Amino acid sequence: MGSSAVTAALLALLPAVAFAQPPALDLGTLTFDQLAERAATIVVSTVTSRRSEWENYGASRLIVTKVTLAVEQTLKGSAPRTLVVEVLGGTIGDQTLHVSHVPSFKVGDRDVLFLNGALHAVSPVVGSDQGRFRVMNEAATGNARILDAGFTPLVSTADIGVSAEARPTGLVRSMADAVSLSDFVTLVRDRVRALERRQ
Amino acid sequence: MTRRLVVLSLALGLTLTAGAGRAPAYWYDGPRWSSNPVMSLQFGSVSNGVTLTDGSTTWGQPAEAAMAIWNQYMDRVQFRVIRDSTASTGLGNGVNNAFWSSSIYGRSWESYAGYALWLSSGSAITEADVLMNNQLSWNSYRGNARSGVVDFRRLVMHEFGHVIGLNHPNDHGQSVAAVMNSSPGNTDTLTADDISGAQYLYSVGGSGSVSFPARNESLDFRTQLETKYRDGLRRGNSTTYVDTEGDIVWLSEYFRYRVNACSHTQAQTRVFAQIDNTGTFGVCGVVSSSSVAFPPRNESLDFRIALEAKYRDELRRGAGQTSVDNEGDVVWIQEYLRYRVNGCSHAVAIDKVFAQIDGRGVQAVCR
Repeated sequence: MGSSAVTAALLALLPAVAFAQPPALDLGTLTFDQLAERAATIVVSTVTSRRSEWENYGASRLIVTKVTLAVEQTLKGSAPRTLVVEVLGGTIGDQTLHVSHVPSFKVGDRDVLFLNGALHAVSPVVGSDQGRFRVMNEAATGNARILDAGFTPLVSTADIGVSAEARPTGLVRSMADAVSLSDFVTLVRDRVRALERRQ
Repeated sequence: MTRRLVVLSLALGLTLTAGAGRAPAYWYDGPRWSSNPVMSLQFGSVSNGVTLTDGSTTWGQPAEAAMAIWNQYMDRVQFRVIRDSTASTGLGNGVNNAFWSSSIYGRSWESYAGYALWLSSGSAITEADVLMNNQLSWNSYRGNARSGVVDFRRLVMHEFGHVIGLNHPNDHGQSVAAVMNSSPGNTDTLTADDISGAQYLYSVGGSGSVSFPARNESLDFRTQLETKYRDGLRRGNSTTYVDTEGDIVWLSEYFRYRVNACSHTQAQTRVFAQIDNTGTFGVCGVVSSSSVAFPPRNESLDFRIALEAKYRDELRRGAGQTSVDNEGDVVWIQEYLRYRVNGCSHAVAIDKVFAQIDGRGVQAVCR
């Protein structure tokens, strides 16, 4: 390859020039509307199994994990009762590939998942890990409640996309404050219908 | 993958005198470097000869600045750099590549501007690559994040934090200002929490230690425990000379010393010195990265009884009433703290403790 070809190849690898047009990709935290809009499929599901395997990509040797989900409800798009999604990263023997921003699933995890539908993405979840909401049963009542990926009770969909630094300090929330699974499902369905009408 | 939470190097006095606030709460996955991570920087010059807002003329300059900031807080290892590296990129090649890319080794990006991938074998990180999205508009500036133009230095600083083994505190039940939060937002450099994380993993002095939750959350737990015993379990009142805040603050301090390598005697001596305002002590050592060991129940109970005596006989506090007996007090506070240091948020930790009180057995932690 000649020097001009090398230069051209290197330039192709450089980022957009500073001060260029805003990126089409939203960065950082995504709002509820953005998550719902971007999701190809939204499901309520439980992880039933996971399996990690090696994958070669060029000179790279990667670990990918296939996660099998038992789908309880489909809130957007269509999904089979058993769905397999793939995340980059995982453990084989004593070798672990950690990937920032990519959710880690374990058997038994129950979630509302906003799935991006991409065949070969770093994460199957919209916003890498943001479109994952944990479902946990409140001990006292058994009511299923929604928590964010960090196990913080989700009180309102308006809290989705609010960065950690923007949240009020000293606020103590209990599981009972969290929106219930049934209410969250209704909110998601309503939002999806609204988006469909808009289109 | 996550093993457990850790943290802090808040000065002890600050811990005790601060009001409601946030405890430092960095999170790491477990593995760490045993030798210097040498980063092969392959970001190149700024196209068209543009000078970035912070004066940089190459992307390597803010990247090196970010590493230098981390290096200030690490003793055992230091970032090293190979400038303008021409090494081939790839995971598993033994080279720590840092470069622009349009994909994550063939996989499409999903929202974030950068990804770090790090390989570990057992407890050792063996390789780490940093990939930054070349489809975005980048600059390098300080201050609040600007719409449409991503600050390279804070993002690459975040990714280098992953390289040394840190992860996102806000993804693990913690609420704290940190460049290591999943989205750094307006945080443009390391915070006290980030620094504590680096020091915990790599400081010779072991200034890092296991952190406990913010006082307002612990106090809320203790208040709810009182209500649970009184209204739920219908327990009668017993006399105590330790008010609710003193109870949770000093028990938490005792546990904090214990999980940070202090013996029962050392922990009790330190706590009582704090109560007497006769000294400020550090913790007793660096804890293992694999587990947080709480003390045996009899020792915790001994401390609680001694605390009662101190309040009654030395501090001459008046008698009050509580529905929570001493054993329940130490057992459930310890359980609450155990859940918290294992990734559970305040709300989830309370829920799990109350499930135990209701006879549903020990609950799974949130790791």
